[in-house]
Amino acid sequence: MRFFSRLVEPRGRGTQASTRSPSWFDRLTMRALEMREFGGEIGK
Amino acid sequence: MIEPLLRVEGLTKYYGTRLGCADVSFELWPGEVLAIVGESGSGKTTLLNSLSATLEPSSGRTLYRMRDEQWRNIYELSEAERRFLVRTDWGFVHQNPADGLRMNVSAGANVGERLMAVGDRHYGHIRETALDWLGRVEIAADRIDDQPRSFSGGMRQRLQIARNLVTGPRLVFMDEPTGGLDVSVQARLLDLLRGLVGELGLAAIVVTHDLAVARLLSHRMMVMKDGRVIEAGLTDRVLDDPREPYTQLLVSSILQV
Repeated sequence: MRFFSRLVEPRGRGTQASTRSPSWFDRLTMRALEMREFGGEIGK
Repeated sequence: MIEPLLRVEGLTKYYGTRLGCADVSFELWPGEVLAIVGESGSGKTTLLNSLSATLEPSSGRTLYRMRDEQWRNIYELSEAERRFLVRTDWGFVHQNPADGLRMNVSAGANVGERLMAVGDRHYGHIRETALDWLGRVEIAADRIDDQPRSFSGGMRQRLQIARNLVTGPRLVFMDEPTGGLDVSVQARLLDLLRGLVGELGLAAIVVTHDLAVARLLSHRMMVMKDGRVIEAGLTDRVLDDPREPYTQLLVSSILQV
């Protein structure tokens, strides 16, 4: 089971935006999602 | 004085010795929707690809009035100029949304990339505009970070429309925009398209084999057969009072339910 979870691409909190996405926009979204844990809001 | 947006003169395309389309000439005015109809193989997609500078014609020219009011032959533009035009002032809605979308990036990024192409660099603004456009094409805001591969066919097509319209293009090419969708989804999509085209004052060239799509969306239409335009005129005139026997056949072959 642990082996399987390592094969799956990490996904951010229920979204499909990914740190490995070829899009700059998606990588910033992932960073914003991490920031939100500290009280930030996406896009502000 | 209002001038046309696009002027097509004697456009002809041969594939080797086979004819794609022959001697097509017309003008398209700002805010006007032109439908090109005909059966499969009649040359309508060849014509659309030539008009959108995807294909280079064998002869003839297509003049486009740029934003600086200069008339340019689109086949004489440099590659950089052509790309800029395609990314900003034009839109192209493909029949298969996968051809017009990037399937491995999120819906927000699909819309946002077009904004970045016109110079927007502020993530917050791009995201806000993407959210606004997803709302306009009836995609829920919480799907913004999902990839289009998880969307239904209708949602993908609506996302493709948002991606194309977000930069405020003046001319949109559509190749069978409702092809491959079921009838109820088609009706909603057409309603949406008609609303957006009217609201934004877009000029559009729509290729379709579905006369109902032409009737609903277009002001004028051209009927093609064997690579040639055999009848052209106001949509209502052509559909209600077709002059050519082939157009009469097309109109009479619509299934009455």
